[in-house]
Amino acid sequence: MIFRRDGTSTEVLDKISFEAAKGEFLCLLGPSGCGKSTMLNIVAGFLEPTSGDVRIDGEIVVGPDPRRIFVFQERGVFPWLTVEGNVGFGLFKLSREERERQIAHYIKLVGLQGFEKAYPQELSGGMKQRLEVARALAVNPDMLFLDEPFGALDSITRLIMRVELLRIWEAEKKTIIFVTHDIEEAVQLADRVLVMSARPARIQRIVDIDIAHPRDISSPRYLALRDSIFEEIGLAHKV
Amino acid sequence: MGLHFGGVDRDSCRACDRLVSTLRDGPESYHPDFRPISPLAWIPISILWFGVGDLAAIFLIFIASLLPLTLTAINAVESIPSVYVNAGRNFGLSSARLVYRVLYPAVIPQLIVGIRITLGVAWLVVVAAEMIAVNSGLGFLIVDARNAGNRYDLVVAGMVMIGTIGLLLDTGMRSLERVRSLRWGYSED
Repeated sequence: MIFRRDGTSTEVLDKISFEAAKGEFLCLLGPSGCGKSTMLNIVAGFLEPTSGDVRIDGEIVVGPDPRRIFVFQERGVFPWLTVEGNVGFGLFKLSREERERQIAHYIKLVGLQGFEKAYPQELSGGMKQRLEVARALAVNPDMLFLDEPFGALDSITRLIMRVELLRIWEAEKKTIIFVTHDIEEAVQLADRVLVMSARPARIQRIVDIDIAHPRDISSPRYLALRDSIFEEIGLAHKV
Repeated sequence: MGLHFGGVDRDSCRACDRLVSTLRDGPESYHPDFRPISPLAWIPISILWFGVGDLAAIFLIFIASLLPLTLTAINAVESIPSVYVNAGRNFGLSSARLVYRVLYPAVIPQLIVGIRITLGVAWLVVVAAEMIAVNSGLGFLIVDARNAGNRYDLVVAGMVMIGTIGLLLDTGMRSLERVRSLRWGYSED
């Protein structure tokens, strides 16, 4: 992927190749500005790669598709709609009863019961993020793309949200591609972590996280995997 | 291209982008900006074209409102965060649906502010137009009361009425800003 602007070109991604299995939780991990989000935008069809292509179930991706929903880094919930309205946003093809059933189901799944009529402005950051996940899940996509979804949350909420996301992932069995710059987050969540280098980004290493959920984040295996990624990125884990 | 699961292919995405950029760049590129001309300067021409009467006043209000509102609308569409447009596209909205489910609700708060300001200006223009181009109304009352023997009691009464009506119009518009589905557009958060 090469961006051209004002006569200069920036090579953001170079010779990236990876595969995700159905139902897999994949983390793209890399330093900020390395092109992780660009990568995800290409996979989701919002950007056209300069060369190469993305295939999902054998089809080349040519644009965004409701089968694959992007959960945005910035808060992407629509502020002019209530919680219900947001969750039902993508369900315009369904009948009224069907839509209401789906809305109720997903509001319950993300634990927003009692807030159906609330507007996003009246919700906390964590609740807004859960709402966005519910809106994405409601259209029953095959895949979810999450771009640093918990980046703006405080560290306690972030931990809770990770547990919630894993619970939802286990319940709904979606393929998830999750972009983060947080090493701990990647090791806690993913089946596999794709460690990306600085720009122009390449996939530096793929780490299998062979620990069953729920993961003990003080177990030796967890710490060993975490530290190996720290080293891979070139950080000493000392402050 | 085989991806029509009620989906958006890249062509219709381009259509959406074009739509957004047309709404954004289009109007400005083919009409000149008349705003630096005070709407009141149009009074002689409006009398020439429409005679002394309501039509002339309506024309002046039109002149005073059209451009500020158009520009407000252009700016409002321009400042829609791309995340909303992208989310709309992601859920497979057609261009028409994207306009009325994303672009339109996203610009309403700014449009209301624009309408509020424009309404204030229009009210000033109405009064001024009545002073010159019409034979009725509060503006006419003020001028007529002074000319007909310095009835300053009527002049002041007219001024108070004008102020009260202006205030009510503004209060009416402001109350729209408290509508729950619009409040997001006015708070700091």
